Amino acid sequence: MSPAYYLVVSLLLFLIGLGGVVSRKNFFFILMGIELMLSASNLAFATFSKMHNTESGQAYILFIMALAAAEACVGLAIIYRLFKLKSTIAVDMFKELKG
Amino acid sequence: MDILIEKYLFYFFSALSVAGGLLALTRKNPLHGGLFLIVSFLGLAGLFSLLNASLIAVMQVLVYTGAIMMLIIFTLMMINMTKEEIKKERISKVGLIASIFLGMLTFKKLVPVFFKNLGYFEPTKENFGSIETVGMELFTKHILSFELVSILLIVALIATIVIAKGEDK
Repeated sequence: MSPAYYLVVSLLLFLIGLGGVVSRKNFFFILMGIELMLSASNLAFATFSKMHNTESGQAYILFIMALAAAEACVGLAIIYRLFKLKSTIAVDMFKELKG
Repeated sequence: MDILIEKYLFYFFSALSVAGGLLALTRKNPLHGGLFLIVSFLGLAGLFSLLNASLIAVMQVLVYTGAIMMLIIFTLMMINMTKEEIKKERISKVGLIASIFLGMLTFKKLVPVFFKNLGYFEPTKENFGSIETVGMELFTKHILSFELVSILLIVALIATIVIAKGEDK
């Protein structure tokens, strides 16, 4: 298999995640889209790591995973507080700061 | 590994991850979305193991499907959305059209570049991607980043507790 195939899968996953983040109005789907985009970038890192025959890419994947975990738990805490505040998690209900 | 088997496994796992991701982000109910996202992450773990990254494949299953998705589903059940609210769920048409357009454009421009410039994988060195070699890489070359990640995790832990607890009344 050529590395190009893996990169195409990575690109597809990234674009799916981007579409989800941009078009959904539920906080959970936005968070899931971000997770999907981060995993897609992980796949690209792993592909390049194998292509260049060095493990640096895989060390970066571990850092990205730690970052994704940190981002998910802070994001979920924010979702929890927002739901306590307004009993909804639709993003267009939170417009107070809109100028 | 046999080339043909690798090819079929690649198609299987990539179809699993792409279909899972696509289904996950088009569901109305966030719980169904989370369960499909787990399927997608399992497919990605398979792709990692095809890329000789065995440690990463295990970490993908442990961290993403085990920890992150469990946390998302746990929070989802804790905040208890009503059925009406799930039914009311709308998508932004402008965002959808813009992302489809942008996606097609990116796909059209990038995919020929991938296929033109990237050749084949060279044979990997012995125990490439095993826990030993990745650990050596992590604790020698990237030791500073490793320590910074531990600080990041502590900060995230404290921030989560402070945010979720709310202000004292």
